[in-house]
Amino acid sequence: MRARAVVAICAAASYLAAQNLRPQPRNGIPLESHSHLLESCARTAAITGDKDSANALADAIIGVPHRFTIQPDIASLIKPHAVNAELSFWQGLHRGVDEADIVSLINAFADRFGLPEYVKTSASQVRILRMEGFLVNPIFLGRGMAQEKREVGQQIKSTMSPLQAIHVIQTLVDQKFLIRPIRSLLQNGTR
Amino acid sequence: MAKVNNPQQTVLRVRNNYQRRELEDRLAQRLSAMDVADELDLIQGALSKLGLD
Repeated sequence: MRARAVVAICAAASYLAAQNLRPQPRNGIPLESHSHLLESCARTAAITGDKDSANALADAIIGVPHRFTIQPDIASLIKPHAVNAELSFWQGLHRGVDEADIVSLINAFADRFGLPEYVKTSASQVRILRMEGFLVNPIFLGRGMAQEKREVGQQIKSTMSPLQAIHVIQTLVDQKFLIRPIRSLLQNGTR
Repeated sequence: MAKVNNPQQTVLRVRNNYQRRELEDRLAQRLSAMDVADELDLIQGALSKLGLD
């Protein structure tokens, strides 16, 4: 009887420990599911390349929880532009979004709203984020990342697809609010 | 034995929390002061900068 109670307590403790290790859900959906959905949609979009798959990928990106989640009315304005540009990009008809474009956007946004200097970003910060994002979402963020003509130090293209850019921008904004490493990099003069 | 926090880390954490709150407050003030035309202008500007217009 006593042994059975000990086993039950151990099982309960290990269950609770496992619960603590899992990413906490937001909006009722665990964070890992958003990532899996993003990868699944990116895989389908890479295979089919049609508008439906690009729409699904855009929905998956908009659905990822962020510090400032895109509001539905704003998402409905942005999404058609982003989906059309995404399809054009993969057909070679759109130049894509350069890391410098993201830097320009974030810095202009910081200036317009009078935000502190550390909100501003640089190409190196965007590159670091893309690389870290690539480890989490290799199918989505890795697509089209490699240069055709590889030279030492220039293996990664500075351009990305429009939907990749939207995801990177949202993640960058998260970092500015939530995470310390980029500020540490800032203090070390990487910016 | 109780864990002793590194004072430098504590200062950094407090400063980060303060900066984050300050940033959120400032941004919320600026956004709430915008009307619909300003918001549309902001979105169009962002789309244009990214080449999505």
